[in-house]
Amino acid sequence: MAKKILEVKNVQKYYKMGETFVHALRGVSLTISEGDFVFIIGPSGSGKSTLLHILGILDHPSEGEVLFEGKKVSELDEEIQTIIRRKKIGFIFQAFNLMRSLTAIENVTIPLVPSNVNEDKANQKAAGLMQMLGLGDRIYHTPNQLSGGEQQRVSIARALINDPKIILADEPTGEVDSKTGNEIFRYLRMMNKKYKKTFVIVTHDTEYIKRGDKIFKIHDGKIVG
Amino acid sequence: MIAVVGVIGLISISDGIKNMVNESLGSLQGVQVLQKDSLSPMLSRVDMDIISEIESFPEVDIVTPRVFGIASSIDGKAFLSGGMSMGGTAEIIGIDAAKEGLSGKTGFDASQITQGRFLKPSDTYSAVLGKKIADDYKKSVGSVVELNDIRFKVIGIWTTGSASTDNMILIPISVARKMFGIESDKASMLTVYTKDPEAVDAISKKIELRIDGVDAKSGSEYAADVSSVFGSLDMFFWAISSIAVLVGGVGILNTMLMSVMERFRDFGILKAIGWGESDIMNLVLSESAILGGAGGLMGIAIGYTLVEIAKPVLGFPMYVSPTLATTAFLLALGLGIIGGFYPAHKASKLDPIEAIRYG
Repeated sequence: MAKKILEVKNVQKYYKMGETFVHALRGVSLTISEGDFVFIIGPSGSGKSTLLHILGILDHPSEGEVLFEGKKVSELDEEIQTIIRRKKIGFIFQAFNLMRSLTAIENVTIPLVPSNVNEDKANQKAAGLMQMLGLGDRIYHTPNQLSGGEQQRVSIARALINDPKIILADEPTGEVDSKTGNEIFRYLRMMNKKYKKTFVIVTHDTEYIKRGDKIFKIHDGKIVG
Repeated sequence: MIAVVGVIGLISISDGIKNMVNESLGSLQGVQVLQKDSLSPMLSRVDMDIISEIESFPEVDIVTPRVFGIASSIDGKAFLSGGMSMGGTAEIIGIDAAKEGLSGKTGFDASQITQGRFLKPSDTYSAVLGKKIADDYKKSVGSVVELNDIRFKVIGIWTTGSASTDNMILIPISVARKMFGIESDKASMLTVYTKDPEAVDAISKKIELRIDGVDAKSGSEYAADVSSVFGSLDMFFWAISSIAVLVGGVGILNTMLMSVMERFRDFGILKAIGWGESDIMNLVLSESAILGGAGGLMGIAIGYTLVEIAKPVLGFPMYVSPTLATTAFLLALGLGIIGGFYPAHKASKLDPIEAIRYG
């Protein structure tokens, strides 16, 4: 049986947004193991982004427990959480979230800066990843010179640069057409098959799901299937 | 940057004056004996009788009387309207040629003559001009110069290399007494030269103790007086500068705060992809230090250029010392770091989710 990376146990999340009280998650439990290709699907406002943020240790549950590689996240201090985010988790965002003033390769190597990785080594690694993602001739372009699909692939390379165990993607095809969306998923699946990377993908598009994928349907803050 | 220009400008003035004064005081040898509590040699009168009394001290080599006055006009032109400003007053010094110049024992001697010769005891209406006066009035040996409407023959040009002595005119003491209405048994001051130059401080005390009605000061005692005056001048300039510095600091704070707010989203992303609070803090602080440092370098360059331009125009002693430039640079760098602290803190504490969603 594959090793468990993330375990979520009866997680609740509520917060106040202005005057309104939001109960985003109402007792969610799930397990993600090494090599999984996981979809979290549900309509907007169902709590799926909140769940993804909690899985990525960007946010903390109001109640319940999250275990990363068997350790309770709530008992780790802030610095360790930052290092887990840096070394073991990769993020892909809907809006790409690239630094507009930096070139593609600089965007890819940015997560290595706090670890003081040698610049040549970092660039070598980034160039290799970009090659693999079909961005070999886009290395020194800035984001505004790239298409949506290319920008998303740059952000995939950025998510992979630290060799993370798990990559979390928030609506990775939300801002591209379905042809480009298919292309993006082709790359994600390649990384999953070839390098055994674990993926957790939040989306409301069910068209990219394949047999063998793990699916969590979420509705009103609860897993419904 | 503006702050640094201000600091450079103001402090260079004070350093420049200090340099000039120290240069002059450095060339000041022996002990100056003046009438008690007189503010300047021009207002001082001492009796010639005391020369023999001081010369009888075993440590003393020679005592020379001098008469000091201002050249209020040169060649009929009132001096102050002649385009010279501070540091440019022409002083007339009446000296006893029997004692000075030839002996090589006093501050004025023949080796400082660049053209012509020094005064001789037999000279009457002859003058040795400081180099600057000679240059300004285009005089050379053999020309005639009118000092306070009296005609003198230029017999020599001299320089010590110090700006203040280059404005001095030497004439025989007897002529100077007549010119400035001083009795024949008086002089403005006496300069006492000791056999051992180290003995000046001791001899100045001895003179004040033994002889009534005089002040005696050595060059080092003058220097101490002067530096205390400049200490307060410096304080004043630094006080003005610190206002400029404060404004500069607020400027950096504002710039960095704006720049951080514009990049809320970016800092949120950085946090999400594994940058820690200290990484972001360091990033913003280095940006702000670079901003301050670059401003500092520009300020020093502009300040230095302005000082170089202003110096000949104002005829003012200004000097940008390496210490001043270094201090100004470090100040700017420090300002950058201090001004960046709050923005850096703000950036490091951002909630990544909020920053990405709304930034």
